[in-house]
Amino acid sequence: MTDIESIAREIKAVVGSEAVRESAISLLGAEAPFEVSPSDGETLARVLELLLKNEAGAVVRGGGTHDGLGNKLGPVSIALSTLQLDGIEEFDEQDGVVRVLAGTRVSDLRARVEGSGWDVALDTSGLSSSDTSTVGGTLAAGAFGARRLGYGPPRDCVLGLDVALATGERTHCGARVVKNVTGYDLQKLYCGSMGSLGVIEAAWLRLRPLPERVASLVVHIDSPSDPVGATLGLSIARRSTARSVALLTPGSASAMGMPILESVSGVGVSLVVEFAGPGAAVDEDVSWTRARCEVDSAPDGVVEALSAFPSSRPGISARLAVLPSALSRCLVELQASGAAVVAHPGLGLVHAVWSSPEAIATDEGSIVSEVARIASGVRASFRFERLPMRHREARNIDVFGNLDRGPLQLMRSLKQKYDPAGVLNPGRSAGHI
Amino acid sequence: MPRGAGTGLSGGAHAVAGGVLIECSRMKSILEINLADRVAVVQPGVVNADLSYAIRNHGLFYAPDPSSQQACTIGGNVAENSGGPHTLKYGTTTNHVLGLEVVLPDGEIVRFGSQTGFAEGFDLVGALVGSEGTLGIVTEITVRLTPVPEKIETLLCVFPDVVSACRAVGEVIGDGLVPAALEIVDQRTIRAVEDSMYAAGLDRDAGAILIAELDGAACVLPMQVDAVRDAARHNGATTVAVAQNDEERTRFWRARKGAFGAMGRLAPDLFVHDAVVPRARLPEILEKVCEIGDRYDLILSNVFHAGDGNLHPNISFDRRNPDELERVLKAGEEILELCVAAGGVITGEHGVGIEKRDFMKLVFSEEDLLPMHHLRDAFDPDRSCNPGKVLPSTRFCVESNPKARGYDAVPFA
Repeated sequence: MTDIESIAREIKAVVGSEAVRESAISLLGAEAPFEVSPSDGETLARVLELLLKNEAGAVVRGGGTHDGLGNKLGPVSIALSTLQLDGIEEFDEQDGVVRVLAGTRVSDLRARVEGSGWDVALDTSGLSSSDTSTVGGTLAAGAFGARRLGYGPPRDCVLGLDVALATGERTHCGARVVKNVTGYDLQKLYCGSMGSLGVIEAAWLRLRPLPERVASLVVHIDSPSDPVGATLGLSIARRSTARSVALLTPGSASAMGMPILESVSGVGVSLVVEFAGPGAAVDEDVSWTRARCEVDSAPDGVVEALSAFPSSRPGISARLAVLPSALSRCLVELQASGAAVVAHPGLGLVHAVWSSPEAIATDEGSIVSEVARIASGVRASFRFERLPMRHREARNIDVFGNLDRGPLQLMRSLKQKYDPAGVLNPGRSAGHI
Repeated sequence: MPRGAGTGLSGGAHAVAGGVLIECSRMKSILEINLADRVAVVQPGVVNADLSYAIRNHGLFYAPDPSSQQACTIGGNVAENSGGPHTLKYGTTTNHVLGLEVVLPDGEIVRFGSQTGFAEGFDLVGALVGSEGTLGIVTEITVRLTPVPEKIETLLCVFPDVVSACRAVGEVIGDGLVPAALEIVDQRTIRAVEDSMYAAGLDRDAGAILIAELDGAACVLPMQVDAVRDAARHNGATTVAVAQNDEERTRFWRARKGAFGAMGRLAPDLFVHDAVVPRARLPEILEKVCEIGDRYDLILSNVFHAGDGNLHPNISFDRRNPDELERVLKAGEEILELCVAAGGVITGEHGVGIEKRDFMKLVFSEEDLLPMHHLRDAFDPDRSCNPGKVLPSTRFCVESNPKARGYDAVPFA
């Protein structure tokens, strides 16, 4: 292996000195002494070729929103930033599709299209405090916020991708059309793969019509019983215009120190609801909800705060995915473990956060074991969205849970085919791939 | 080589390279229906329509509805990522599959995904759906069930020509409406249908019809019906009728659903083509498709999912006439080239199979195909599972001729 200074010199010769920042970036237990920001796909591919030649690892970054997500990284020589791959290359207003470079901020893309009556079905608001999420990073992380119920998973708005492989080939999959079965659906494979199979350069995205009306409500349920809230939340989530339905357990907001969520919390369970769609349908769903429970208007920004909930305080946070019918049991058990909890009944998702310094300091291992036990009891999958690095290192924990042997073997085989030298985000993905 | 009901249209279940055909139609049990969580678990041989029938009294249905849904199996739908007329709103099979049990080429049984729709690690379910049986054989499928819409409105819009109908579709999409279906049937098809047992009482002189179906909350449908009606009239529709009852709705759909059967009246063979173009370019591409048909002196008709830009140019011909067969294939190839040049692709729902394997290079470079080979090799390094399908390769490469595309493998009617 060549030394890092030598690699940096070679990279500077390809991308230019101005695209190499000599500033150590520490994340996921690794330290990259340089950050390289290619300005186009061809330069990106050449950088990848150099990394392959030198058997040097790279951590791939967009806006840094999910820097803390993943397993402990193996050795890396550079942080490879996509931020200079910035721009909206084509916006077909009539067809409702857009081609955008990976480093473009989602907020910039949304601002560009919404004046034309279209919306971007990537739910990143609230995921980072300064709205830095990029299109490529969001897709690579499979990231979403509290509005996933309405927007769907990020992969579903992807029509095509340009991807630079770890071996330096520039490839495309999919297309700009809204229906396509030409060859394997590689877009699905790349989305959520944490950048470990290739670096996304650009994407064709399908847009959705901007909703005619949006209404946000807070539903207060006097009963402290979670089943009542989960059942009602699921019923509301199944209304046709429900875009976000989140259940906030008593005391969770104050435990997290989130004033906006505290303002909507009550003595019992609270539901924060957002309807979006045709005006008449939204009005009907609001009326349906008001007829069944005590309802207030929701303050601006509350849905974004729910998206930020898992990362708003230091500590440990986990996301569990469970069938809606098992949600209540999951909530009860997580609360009993001392977690502050926000659940999304329509999705079967629960975010649990342990932020008490005492709880974390005394025995992090017991929290990790407890999450695994609870998940097993309700047949949930889980991931740790935040976990102190010292703890990951001490126990070699897979933050994505324990995957079955069969899928894991295939994932390893895929990584070996796509990235034989282990250049991209080494060790970060599920199974330490 | 796995095979469901054999309704596929790209030859994916043809044993072109020999081997053993593994017939999946006896795996036909619905294993679990979980109404509370809106999930069902089925074996691959369950007929598509049978699942919706099994849950019909619970306000739910299985949304993917390929035209062959009375016969095709859900396992086959998974292999092909099947769509259907209502793909526009509900998506294709991939949007409804949550988990899979798969037998890998080496005999190992693995499970991907979950009933929750969330699974950590790479999205292997997403990679498997639409892989045409080349990565493994699916033996169990977990699917999402969809609530039956509160109300459905179906419009039949009559146009003087097919290009006007396409323009109306572009206006509807551009207005931000998401109908459940936007289907166009051209004049040649209308006449074939009206001459057949599927006759729907349509005007034989109509240039084209557009069937627009809207569904959802009853309170919003009147406005959406008005919007579609306005778009149709604005683009030259001479008649716009709204179905007043289920019987009339069925009649409106009869022309669409009976089209392929009715074309048996035009010639003994039918080449059902499948390609996709950007929706905004439908009018110009349709004109050029028709020009190609005329230039090759062929009977070409169009029945297609206009809302998705998914064309189905259908060429009626007689394979016993070698010259005509050659012209059909050349015209088909030219249509694919036209669609790709417009930013489209060579198949929207029929799959690549053997029919379009050699046309993959119209869309993908050698570099683009590399990661597809990587995927195939990770699952099936010996290429023993449905060999010779999807990916062009030297090992199975054949000249583009009728025999290679399976036309000599189908017995004469």
